[in-house]
Amino acid sequence: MSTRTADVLPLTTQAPDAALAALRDDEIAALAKTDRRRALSAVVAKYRRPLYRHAFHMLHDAEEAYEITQEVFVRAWKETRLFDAEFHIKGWLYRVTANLSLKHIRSRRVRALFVIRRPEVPKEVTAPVADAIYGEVRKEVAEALEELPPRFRQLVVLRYFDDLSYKEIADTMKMPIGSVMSGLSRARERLKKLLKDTELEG
Amino acid sequence: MSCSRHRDSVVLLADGELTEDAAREVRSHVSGCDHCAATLLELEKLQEVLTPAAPATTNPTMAEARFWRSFEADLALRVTRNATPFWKRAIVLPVPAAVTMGVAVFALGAMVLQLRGEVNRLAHHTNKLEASIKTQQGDVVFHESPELTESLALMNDTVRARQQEIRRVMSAAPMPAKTMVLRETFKIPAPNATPNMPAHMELRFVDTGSADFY
Repeated sequence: MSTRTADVLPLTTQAPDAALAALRDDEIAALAKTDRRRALSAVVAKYRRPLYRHAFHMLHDAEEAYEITQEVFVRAWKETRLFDAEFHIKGWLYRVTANLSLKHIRSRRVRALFVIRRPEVPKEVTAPVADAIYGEVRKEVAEALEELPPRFRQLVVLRYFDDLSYKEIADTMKMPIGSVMSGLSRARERLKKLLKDTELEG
Repeated sequence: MSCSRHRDSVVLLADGELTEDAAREVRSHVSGCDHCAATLLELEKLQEVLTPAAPATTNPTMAEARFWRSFEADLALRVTRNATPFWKRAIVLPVPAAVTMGVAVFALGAMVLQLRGEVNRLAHHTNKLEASIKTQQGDVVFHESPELTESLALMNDTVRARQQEIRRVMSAAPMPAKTMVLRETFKIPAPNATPNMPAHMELRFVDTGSADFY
């Protein structure tokens, strides 16, 4: 199996990830003309952490975020237009991640009806990245995020944690900039109310 | 007074959506307007609460590096599985789905069998009906046919001639009563033979001193 894996996509290259991750999107697209696999590796190296971060902030669950990030890259691997000249790689990746996360968070209540909870087994694999991301935000903020409606939560995550501009958010979510602004302001109101007791007073 | 005009701009300023010139203009307004200054302060505070410091130094720990390596190995595996055509893939079907499929196939088979039985029964019934209709039609033709009348007349002549011959032979040599009964079978061509009717009709003649048809 390992040989076949290497045949298809040598994502685990020996080349330093840092060099690949530092490439700009247009450089990656140029690289794809000669070596598509390497370009895909570069996409993964560059975007795995930001996308995982987004999914984790949306779901606050290491495993679910992991699954979503994997799914995003599998779709990117299948996407034939990924390295086209007019294709916006970053926007596309964020769109897929955001939509999958939103779908996932909305289906939680339904899935809770069907999933049989297995007894908790102490995990062998820790989630260092999830822990690190969780450590970056304050506990009160994380709790407030969970209280927000999914749409608002998504806007807040895109704006503050992913640090996207209005235009990028509008492109990502395929909505007009005006809706982004109004949605964000309402999300901020909710967030302020939720955080009122803790921080914003002082 | 121009505060309402600047309210949205303050938000834009806080979100870093303004060009430098516009930002400078809004800042100059904010410095002279308590209300807008408060709004801006609030937004900046929110920003700070949400993302406190500069993003953590991107110095991946060993654990993180290992995590991403296994992430990529997992991804490579999934991509490989995706590249494998479905007929070469090991069948992985969750148990509930398999059970549902089995039940569905069974139910479908039972339905098909039942329907086929129904169809067969109907076809059989139809055949019988058709056959009876044909027979009735054949009977009508039979009775009205002039050819039959003709062949019956011919028959009568033949029978009468035979009868006379028998009487002549019998008067010449009298025989016991038992052996005096003679049976003869005549075949006459049936008029308008149909698939349901034989091409020939049989008339049996029994000599008991007079001619009888039955």
